[in-house]
Amino acid sequence: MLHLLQLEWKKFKSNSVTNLLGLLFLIIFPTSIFLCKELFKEKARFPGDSTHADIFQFPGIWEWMGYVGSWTIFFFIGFIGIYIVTSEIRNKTLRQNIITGMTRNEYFLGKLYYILVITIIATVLYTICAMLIGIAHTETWTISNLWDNDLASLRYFLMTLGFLSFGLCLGFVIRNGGFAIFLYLSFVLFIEPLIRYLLFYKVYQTRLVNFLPMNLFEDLMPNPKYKLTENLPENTLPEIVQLLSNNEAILGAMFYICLFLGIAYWSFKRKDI
Amino acid sequence: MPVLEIQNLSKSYGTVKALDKLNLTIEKGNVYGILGPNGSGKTTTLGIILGILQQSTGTYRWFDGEFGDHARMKIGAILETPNFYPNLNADKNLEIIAHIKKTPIAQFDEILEIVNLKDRRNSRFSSYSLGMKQRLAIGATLIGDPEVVIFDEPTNGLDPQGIAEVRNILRRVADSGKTVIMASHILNEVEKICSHVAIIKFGHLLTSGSVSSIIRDDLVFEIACDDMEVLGRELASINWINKVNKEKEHFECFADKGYSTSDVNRILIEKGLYCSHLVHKKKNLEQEFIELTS
Repeated sequence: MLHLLQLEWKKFKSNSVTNLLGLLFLIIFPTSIFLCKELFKEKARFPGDSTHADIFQFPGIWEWMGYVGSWTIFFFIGFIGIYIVTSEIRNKTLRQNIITGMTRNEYFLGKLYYILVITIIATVLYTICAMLIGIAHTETWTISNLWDNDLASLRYFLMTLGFLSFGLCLGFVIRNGGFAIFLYLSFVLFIEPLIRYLLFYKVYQTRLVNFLPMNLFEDLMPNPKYKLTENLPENTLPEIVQLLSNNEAILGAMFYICLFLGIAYWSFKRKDI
Repeated sequence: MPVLEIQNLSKSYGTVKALDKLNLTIEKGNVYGILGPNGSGKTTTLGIILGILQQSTGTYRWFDGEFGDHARMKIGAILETPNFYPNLNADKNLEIIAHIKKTPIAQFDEILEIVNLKDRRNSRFSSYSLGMKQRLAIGATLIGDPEVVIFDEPTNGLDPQGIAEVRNILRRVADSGKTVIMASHILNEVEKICSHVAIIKFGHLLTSGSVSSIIRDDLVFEIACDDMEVLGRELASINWINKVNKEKEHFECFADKGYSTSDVNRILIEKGLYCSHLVHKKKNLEQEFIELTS
């Protein structure tokens, strides 16, 4: 494992694209939460609305930090999953790695370990930032209420790994960097939301549409304001806007991560390089 | 001991058969040239035995199966183009190759010296000329002191100076005693460097064996005299001359082996014809290749 990780590090440690994406994430993720300070200066506008205190104090900080993180993970880290494969296909270094002596299994494992390490780093950063901001803004906190976060770090870990494994899958299957990034963006922003809408309103009104992969990854760390719907009467909102429970989202994310990695592996094993 | 055994190897792309039941055995220490026109299946063959293309049917086995899936660790190869990380310099790229092969990195000086890239070792790969890229690729094949080196069209796209440089490096590698497998169009180079050749066309093996056994020692000569019409009739009447081609100022004749130009000269003098031009043409691999593939 260490040998494969060292190899990936040698390949990408001075790569300007991965370094820029990583740097942007490291800068934007911890700082963007402070934009909320400005947005939520005013008092709550309606009962249950988020306030300054909700966002920066425990336990709200875990959810808000995770929600902000989900966008930065989607934009910056997911691209890395695509790039580390498609750049090697474009430069034909993937085929040279195999010619030089790696087996396809080793090559795939190297990429898998690499996205796991990125996921761990992102999760540690999330946990540290949320803790520090929460401690700084919560007047009375204890060790027990500090960790009262409904497995937030695990959910953040799975969300990050979910976007990365989706990116890796597109990289191995599509193989063309530009098209893979286009598909990645359009699937998350347009295609899947459209599928959800059409399935829900045109075919059959079932909350199963909430189990589509990108929605499921988002529901691991959703916009905390959506949780307000939980306080409303059941029949006032269509099910499509309701959230999955944490357990549903965690189990579903595990399934999709395995599925995306499985498709990527299957495609890589059977195709000519 | 066979280094590589290929049995009934076939590869299809849809309805196109790129390789059709190829059989080949390469022994340790052979310098083996794989020849064939464009699209004959040379690169496909190398791609399959290097693990980047999946064969449709057939098998191949490196080193008698001794190293299993890791046989390529004992092989240095370039296929088609030099493939390196463009943002890294020569040292860093070679370091990656060495890391994959799990060999120490101490030997880079010697390798960069051989391929004459020591002065540019710290430049990014993307800044190299095609000749430099090709030389680095050849240098990379030597990392880990592999038992077999494979070159696919190593002089493709190079200028005459680049070809000369690469040719010298290839000769040094071939002289070092390693098993070399080389696909090339430059037949006189193959003839000079290789001990064995295989000629393939449309995915079929046309012939294989030692270079000397491939080049038939039939007699080929050019001849002319003052009366070309009579000469043509007389040549056609000699039963051991198989073919007479009329060229612009002479005839080109193909005769059975065992005869010489002096035999022709003697017969023509007896018939009152005196040659103004008589040249014994030594057959080379290129002529043999053209005859076999045309």
